[in-house]
Amino acid sequence: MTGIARWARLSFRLQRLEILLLGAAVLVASALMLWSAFQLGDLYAAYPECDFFDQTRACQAAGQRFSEVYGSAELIINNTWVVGFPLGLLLGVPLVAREVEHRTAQLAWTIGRSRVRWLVHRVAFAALVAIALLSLLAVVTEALASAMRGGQDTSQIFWLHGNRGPLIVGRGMLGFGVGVLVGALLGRQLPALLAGVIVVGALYWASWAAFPIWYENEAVVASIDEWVGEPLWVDSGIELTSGERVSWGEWLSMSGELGPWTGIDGAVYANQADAENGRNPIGREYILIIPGERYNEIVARETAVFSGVGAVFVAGAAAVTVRRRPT
Amino acid sequence: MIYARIGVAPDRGSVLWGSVLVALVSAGVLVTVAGMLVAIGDRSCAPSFSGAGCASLRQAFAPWEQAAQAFMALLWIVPTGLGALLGVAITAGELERRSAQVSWTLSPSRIRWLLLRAIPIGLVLLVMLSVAAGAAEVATRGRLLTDALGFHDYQLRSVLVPARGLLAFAIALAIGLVFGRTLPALLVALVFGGAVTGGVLVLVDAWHVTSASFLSLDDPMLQPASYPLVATPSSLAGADGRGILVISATEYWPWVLRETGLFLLASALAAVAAGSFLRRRVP
Repeated sequence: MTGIARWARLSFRLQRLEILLLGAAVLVASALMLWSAFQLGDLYAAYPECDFFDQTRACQAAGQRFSEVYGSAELIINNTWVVGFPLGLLLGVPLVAREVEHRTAQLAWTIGRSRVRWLVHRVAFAALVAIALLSLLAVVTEALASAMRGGQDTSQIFWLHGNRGPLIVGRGMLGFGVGVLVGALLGRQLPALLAGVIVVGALYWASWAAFPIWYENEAVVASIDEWVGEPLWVDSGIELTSGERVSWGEWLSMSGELGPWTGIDGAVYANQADAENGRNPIGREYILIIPGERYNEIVARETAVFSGVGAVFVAGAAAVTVRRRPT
Repeated sequence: MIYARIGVAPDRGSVLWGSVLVALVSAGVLVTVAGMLVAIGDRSCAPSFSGAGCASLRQAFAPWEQAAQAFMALLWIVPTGLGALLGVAITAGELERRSAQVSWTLSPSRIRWLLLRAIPIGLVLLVMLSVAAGAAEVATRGRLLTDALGFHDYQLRSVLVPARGLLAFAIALAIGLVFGRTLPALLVALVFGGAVTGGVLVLVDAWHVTSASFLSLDDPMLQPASYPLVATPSSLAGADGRGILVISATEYWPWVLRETGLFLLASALAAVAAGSFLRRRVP
């Protein structure tokens, strides 16, 4: 038996129940999504004349079936954004914590040439498993998203951004890194899992707040009345006649009145009467967007950020493992 | 007191971090309530925000309201998650640490051992989830700007929150004994606990439909502000035109107690199953 096969077999045996259960869960979820994707594909192919989002009487029966399948597909794909975090945590937490909790760390760390080498071997296998499982989900969610749009190429639009594709893997790597570090710090699996949930929640919230600030510098200005595809919406507000940009909230705080009103010409008015008569506009509505053509670049960047932070946490876990007592 | 300390001690880490998690969720909810109160000021604009100068208050109020809603949504998963985690910590944790052989032998009976461990931790779980439910109650009052909440978000802010946690806890006790490993048992307990909770909720929904009365959409009794329980997702055709099936807000407590009773019954069955597995389990 080669060294790699022995390493893989031993690593698998140490986490086999988790890997088998998580693998089964991912397979069931993937099968459900693929089934929905095929059903939607069949419906689009069988009724090319029907617009399922604006049904006519002739399409009612097929539309009913479409709504059912589309509804369940939507329910699944709207929740896939969160899947990476628990999967990563569940594979990362036990790597060090279980050895410490079972008091086998003393033996394992003494037999190994170094603790870092031992950890690298353990982390590498679990990370590969996490990447493999999440990559499957990433591919299947992309297929489902495309099927939900009748086979449309979804690589140039921000529709379902975060719920499909490689970002699921990136978030999983963040959860994995947090799990390894918190497990090494606490040395107890279940407390580490709870602490990991808190840390991951805080990091996700931080990313949710930080990414839009980052994108504000790169976003382009678009007018509300032009077709901009399906971009990443960053911000919106009013560009006053003076050229100053204010958000809706800032304008409301300044004026304290209802409105403002947007006229059919895209201009913004302070009150309804002005809007109806098209007089005294206070400015024009604007939106800040990242165009859909940059979808792949943005996804790659967010995935790299999440994975990079996860890698930093794994490095932190190595530092903790080197210094900590094995009990 | 000493029994409670002995019962909690082996899993104090899980109890501690579980308390931190619930405290953070509850604190988040209460911070949003404070934000809403500050935003609304002297309440002269509440609840419709329609007067002059009220638009800016609405603008300031809305983000806090949305944040409160997001924190409260966590209460769909926290009771089941925390209950399952504390349940498997007791049974699967004992087996995984290989300390069951000693503790089960030293105890007068295995059932007594389980009661000694499960009752204190179960009580801690109930207290934690009651705190979270209380915070959600305050948040709902803050969001709706009224004390007459009716059925609005009632499954996230009533005794149903600790009841759901207790069900997951009892199920996890049984599943922990089957698997004997904490993380795999936790995964299965989460799936099983979620499925049983979902099953009870589906049953309750069906019960609502059979007990609700038809109210025409034109009926002046139909006031959304009284927050009745709407038993059907869309309107139905009736003898007097279209209408919906509703349960009046005055029937809030009977229904909450019925649902709680169902969760407690399911918890009792799971606890009996745990006891049965415990008698047969090889340590």
